[in-house]
Amino acid sequence: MNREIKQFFVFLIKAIVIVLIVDMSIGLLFRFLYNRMVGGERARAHYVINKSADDVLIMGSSRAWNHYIPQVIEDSLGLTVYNAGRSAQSLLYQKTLLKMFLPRHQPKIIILDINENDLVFEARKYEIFGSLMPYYATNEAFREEFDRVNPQFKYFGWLNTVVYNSSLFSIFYRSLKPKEDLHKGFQALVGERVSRIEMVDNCSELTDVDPQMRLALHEIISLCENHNIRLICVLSPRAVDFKCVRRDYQSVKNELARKNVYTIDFTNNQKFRSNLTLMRDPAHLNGKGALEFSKDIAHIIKGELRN
Amino acid sequence: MLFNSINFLLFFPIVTLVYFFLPHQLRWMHLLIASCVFYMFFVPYYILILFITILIDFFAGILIQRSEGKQKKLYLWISIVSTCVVLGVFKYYNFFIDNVNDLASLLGWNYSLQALTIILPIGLSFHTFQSLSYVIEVYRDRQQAETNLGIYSLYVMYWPQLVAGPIERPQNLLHQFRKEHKFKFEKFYKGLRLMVFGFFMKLVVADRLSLYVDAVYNNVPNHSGISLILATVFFSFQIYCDFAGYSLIAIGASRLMGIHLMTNFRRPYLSQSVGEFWRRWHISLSTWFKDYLYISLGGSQVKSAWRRYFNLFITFLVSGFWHGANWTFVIWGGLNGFYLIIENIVGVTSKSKLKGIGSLLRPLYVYLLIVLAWIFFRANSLGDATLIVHKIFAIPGNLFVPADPELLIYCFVGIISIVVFEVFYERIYRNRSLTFSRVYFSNMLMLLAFFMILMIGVFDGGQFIYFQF
Repeated sequence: MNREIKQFFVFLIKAIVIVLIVDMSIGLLFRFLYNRMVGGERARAHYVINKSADDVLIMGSSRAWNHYIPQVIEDSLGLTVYNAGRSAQSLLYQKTLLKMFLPRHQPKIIILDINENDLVFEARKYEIFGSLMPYYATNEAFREEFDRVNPQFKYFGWLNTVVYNSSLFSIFYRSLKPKEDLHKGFQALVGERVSRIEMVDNCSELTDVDPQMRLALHEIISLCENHNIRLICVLSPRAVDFKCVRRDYQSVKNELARKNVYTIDFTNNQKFRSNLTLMRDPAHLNGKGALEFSKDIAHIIKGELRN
Repeated sequence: MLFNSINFLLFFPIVTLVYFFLPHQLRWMHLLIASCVFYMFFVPYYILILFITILIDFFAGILIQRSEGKQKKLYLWISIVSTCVVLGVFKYYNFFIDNVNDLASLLGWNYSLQALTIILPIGLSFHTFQSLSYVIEVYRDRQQAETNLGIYSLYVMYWPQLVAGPIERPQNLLHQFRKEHKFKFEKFYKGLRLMVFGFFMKLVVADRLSLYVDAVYNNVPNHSGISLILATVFFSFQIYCDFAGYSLIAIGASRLMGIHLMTNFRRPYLSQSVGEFWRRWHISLSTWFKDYLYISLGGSQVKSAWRRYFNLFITFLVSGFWHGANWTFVIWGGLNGFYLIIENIVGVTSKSKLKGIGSLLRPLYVYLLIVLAWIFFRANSLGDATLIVHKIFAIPGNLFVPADPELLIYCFVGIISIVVFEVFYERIYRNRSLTFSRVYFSNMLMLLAFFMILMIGVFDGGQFIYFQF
């Protein structure tokens, strides 16, 4: 064999062996650290997937995370509650999370906070879904969903390091400096940044319904039905005044009505619209608002459960 | 085809492997077919446009070589004009129409011309300039006209540099397609190393920074001065790492096959003057403009200093316009030309070396000037650009922190890695001889870069910025 070719093969073999060893070592280190994390969004998701045994689970985006105080709802319903809301996440994430923990634990009730734009196509919804990637090797339900959205990832998914892409610092930080989850997943927002009700009149610019998101909503509904879980959908308050009936808002409402899902709509609730000190920004309640909202929502759900 | 795509991960090893297995006589054909496949991943039928320019300049080259005097010049101009017409229609027609319409409405005339609904063929400006350099070099008797249409087509279409350069000269590239390249491990290793660092620059630094830059620059009215400052600093590294990253991948991929492409970037942000910056930034384009425009205008061999400054300014204006059909690019080019003129007047050159703290501050002064010009390069419109400048100097405000604050940490990690590496390379590494420890160190760096790509790289298939030019 030519000397150059021989050199090439020696290099190639050495490189492959070194890459595999380093990949495995870093992967093991990060898996260890990941399991040690306390506090933060990743640790909360980890708890929901692997440990939670709560009766009620709150799911949704930041509006779920910052609006529902588990202790308030627990006191009212007499059931254990955990807030699994996660910033910027879509129905795709909620469906996948549900599929990931259902084989282990079936809660009695799921409160799903819905956004008006939940069915609308947005590329970011698919990108941010990758935050569950550390489960690619260990959770089949996640792998199945992720491969469907990112078919090319399976060529790299076997690497131990790539699944921790873009989460190094939070894993290090939360495993080396744990932060107790005192409020069962909930986090209050601080501040009152809303001075007036925001007018929204861009009804004509809205994009069409994303079939993937609609399918995700349908799957969430049928998963809950199949596991005897009571699904309650909530549209929580907003400091926004819609000049017209927005297509995205209407499509979400129609979809829920068509599937007979019990839905509570706080979008036009006067209590919150007339008292802007309860809002942190047009889309989020502050701590004071969350307390009021949690009391209200617990009261309504309690009434509904009695019936 | 994008370098940062799964398709390329398959395309590249297959093409390289087949290249070395084929007999030398067939290799150029193989590379030509590979280049066609590479190009057709974008808009397949646009390859016909490329073929038209190839045919025009191929025959023009032969005719130029065979003629003398006025006829020779005529063939040159026919070639230049017809090549530029293609560029003009696809790249500048709508810009021209928009401006005519704006002017008409300003003058109260009641008519409007229809804009074309066409997509700009990818890398059009690059292969247009590469074709032009060929006919000009043949005209100047510095290059023999190529008689093999296939080899000439490969010169224009060679896949590593087809869509974003480096813009090669015929003297450097054409003869390499005829030469037999045997597999050399050293070339393979060096090429691979360049590719890994290119991917690092693109995926770890540029694409990460773009997440913040796009969020701020695409919504200027809602962002504060401090966020705009940060986004502009980020953009200065984004554009550098995006473009230099592409060049490194192109040069590396080519070197693996034994074909050398010219260096396109040499740590430009460490320059001691704006003039030096332009000798280190996008070298293949800067030298193109110097060789074919600046010198043709008279260059520095003119009697009056003002005429020299005028030549400089025009060259930079045209360079700005080459980058994009928007006034923002023209202003960007003009600003850089202005900087150079001032440096010429004041006498600041890279040769006027400063010692101590001065030598450290000089790159900072160059960076600040360059970064100010980048605002115009990145802004979506002239209105946005002026608003950004106003906000930066007037309203500091609160810093925009993205939904995932970890993004900012990765942005800084990327920038710090690049700065540390470049300073280290500039001051220490490149002056050392090749020793075992250097190879060992190089391997370690390559491994680190590879794992940083896996762990903090962005894999959303973001396009290279310069593809649009």
